[in-house]
Amino acid sequence: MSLGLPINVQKQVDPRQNSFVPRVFTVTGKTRETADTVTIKAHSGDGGVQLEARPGQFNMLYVHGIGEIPVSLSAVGSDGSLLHTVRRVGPVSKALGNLRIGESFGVRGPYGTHWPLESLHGRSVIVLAGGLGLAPLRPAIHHLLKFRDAFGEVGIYCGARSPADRIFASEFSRWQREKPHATGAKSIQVRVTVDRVPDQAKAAWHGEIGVVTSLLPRSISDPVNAAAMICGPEVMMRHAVQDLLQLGIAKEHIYLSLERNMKCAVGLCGHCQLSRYFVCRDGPVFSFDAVEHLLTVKEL
Amino acid sequence: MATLSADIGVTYRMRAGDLGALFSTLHAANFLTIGPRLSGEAIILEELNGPEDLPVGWGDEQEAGRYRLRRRADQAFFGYNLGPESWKKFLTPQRQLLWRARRQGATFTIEQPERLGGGPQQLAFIGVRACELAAIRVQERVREVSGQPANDLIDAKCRVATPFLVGVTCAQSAATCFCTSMGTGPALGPPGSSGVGYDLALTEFPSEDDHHFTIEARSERGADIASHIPRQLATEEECDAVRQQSDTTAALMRRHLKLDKPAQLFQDSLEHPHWDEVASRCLSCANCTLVCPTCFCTNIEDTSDLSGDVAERWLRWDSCFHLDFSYLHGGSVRQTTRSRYRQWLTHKLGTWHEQFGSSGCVGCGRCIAWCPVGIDLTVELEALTLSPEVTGVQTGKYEHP
Ligand SMILES: Cc1cc2nc3c(=O)[nH]c(=O)nc-3n(C[C@H](O)[C@H](O)[C@H](O)COP(=O)(O)OP(=O)(O)OC[C@H]3O[C@@H](n4cnc5c(N)ncnc54)[C@H](O)[C@@H]3O)c2cc1C
Ligand code: SF4
Ligand code: SF4
Ligand code: FES
Repeated sequence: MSLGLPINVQKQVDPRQNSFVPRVFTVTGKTRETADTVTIKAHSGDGGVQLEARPGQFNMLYVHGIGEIPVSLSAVGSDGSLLHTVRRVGPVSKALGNLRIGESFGVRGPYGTHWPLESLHGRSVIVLAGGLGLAPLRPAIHHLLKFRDAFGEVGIYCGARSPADRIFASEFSRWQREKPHATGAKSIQVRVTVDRVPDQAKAAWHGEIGVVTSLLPRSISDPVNAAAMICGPEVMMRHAVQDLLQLGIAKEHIYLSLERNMKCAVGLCGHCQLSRYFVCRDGPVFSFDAVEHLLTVKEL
Repeated sequence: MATLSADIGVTYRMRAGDLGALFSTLHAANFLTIGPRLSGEAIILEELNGPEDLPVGWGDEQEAGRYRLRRRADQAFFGYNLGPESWKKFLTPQRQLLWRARRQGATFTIEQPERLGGGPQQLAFIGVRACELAAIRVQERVREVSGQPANDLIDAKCRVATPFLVGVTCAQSAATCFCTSMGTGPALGPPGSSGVGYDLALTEFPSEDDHHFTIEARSERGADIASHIPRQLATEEECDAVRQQSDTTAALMRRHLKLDKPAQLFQDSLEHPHWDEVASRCLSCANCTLVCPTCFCTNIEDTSDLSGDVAERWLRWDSCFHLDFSYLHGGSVRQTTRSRYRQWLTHKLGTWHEQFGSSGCVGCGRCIAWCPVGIDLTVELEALTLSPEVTGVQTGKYEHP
């Protein structure tokens, strides 16, 4: 027994955030993204300090009397508001989606690791999102837009089940920068693909059809100098990683956000364990080389 | 002599008849004394009024899937081995209220346990074995690494300060014990050597004509309490007898666990065929995790009253053997018993080292005795590490739920 050994804890946990007691936030805006997904904007109701969240982190959201679930921050407003994009799948996510403006919910966080944007300065960046996976990537995209000149080529590739299932679609045109601007700003490529287009929507759909990874071969010209950030269903991420490796992107420059059952978010309840990792604390964002050996084993 | 101060690290001799003074001194110092007590067919941990509540003259017989009380030939107070309960019953209670929320119009307010009432009580644990000191430290380490302040987790009724710990040397091992393999016992080492710091060390010598203890203070407050107990300096032979007792216990230890490279257990055994073999016996009943003194997994339960106005958050023990433990929308990650037993064993003996700097097993043997089908981790580990078919990771394709 050698309990004195130093432990590799990735970051110091702020004791203020480090509690099972949520802060109360009030809904100040709601945007319907798709038939089952809404974005909730909220302000803190306690006049306390703003949450300082980094792109890719998540909060634990509590609905009074119903329960609590992990949800990524899909943006942080300049006024300190928090944006979460929630798909209604079960009791808590439905209750969150049903909250009306003026109603309150609980927030604990932010938790987890973030997309390592600062360390990618100078690199080209591929953003690859499947479905709701675009939510935790949106703050990273906002960073790429804001500090566009710090990066090489930038390509954003989004997949959705159908045109009606795209989230944040109204922002795509703002993200896209076709040619170098008059100001000299660099371009950003935004490409969207859907699995299928229902007959009645065919006339209006001018985008691609197929899996999101099919967009990759035509993405960036300097893969050796590139990094990628991926979020989506685990199967999709597994395929995407193979394609990115084939393009020539290094393992340690591929980042993905993993999902596991989470109850505490502070490395204490054990639910999110993946081998030596607590996904809530050591993730959800991992570099591929850290989890490569874990993603190929069934039921870990 | 009774009021002469006791010195830390000095061994004293105490008559068995004066054990009551330990209880009364602790009670006078406002401690609630907790320790082993006979209850039904087992020895469990509960509040004790005095030495008469200890399982005097009782021992036990343990094997894989088996625990039976046995009458001893003598009147030993601590002549038993570990029962199904560990001190985590008090340190991280099975169910704890974290907070209560009241709806107020469109919003709600949260009250924390401090304000729910109930006064703090200091606990004294009587009869803590060496491996249990180690287990208390292992659980403490989990909270430390998580950065979660311990008092955040504890109901106001329970522990506020570290409990007063009275250790007892094991005069015999159960057939299920393997603390020597884990380096956690049976001797009560100097404080902090293998476990959590503690206050008093007792060693019992239950002979008919001279039933006595040795008592040694391991902390300031331990010395304070010992000062009030009638005692005399132990002779050199009596001091030697303490060491001899644990040496004999160690020498008679029947089970052993051998794992040279714990960090590699996980990776090397992932696709081992033996997991299927264990899974064919394991009932996924979670007994092993409930009796284990280090298992720390919990669930958060959010409840509400019928009106929906008052909601509560409870923290309660959970187990990685439950199907919904790894539930994600669409299905659990660990569907099979094979994957759940693998998670338990590779975590306990392997990945725990990387997470917390020690093994997650202290060798107490409880999971062996209390497994209804007698699954024995020392035997399973041998099959997993010694057999030649270690296959390592299979990089195949699979579809996640
Ligand atoms: C790091 C992280 C970020 C996430 N970000 C988002 C997001 O931005 N938007 C979004 O809509 N969803 C997100 N999810 C998934 C979301 O947490 C689940 O959809 C949600 O827990 C479902 O709970 P429920 O009660 O509505 O439904 P049910 O599926 O009935 O869930 C019942 C309970 O199981 C647990 N559970 C079920 N699914 C999950 C899951 N996928 N992850 C963790 N626990 C689960 C929860 O404790 C939940 O209360 C994220 C999950 C993680 C781990
Ligand atoms: S795994 Fe078994 S032997 Fe080891 S500490 Fe837990 S209950 Fe005791
Ligand atoms: S190993 Fe034994 S005690 Fe543990 S879950 Fe399986 S059957 Fe139950
Ligand atoms: S969510 Fe509890 S340990 Fe990660």
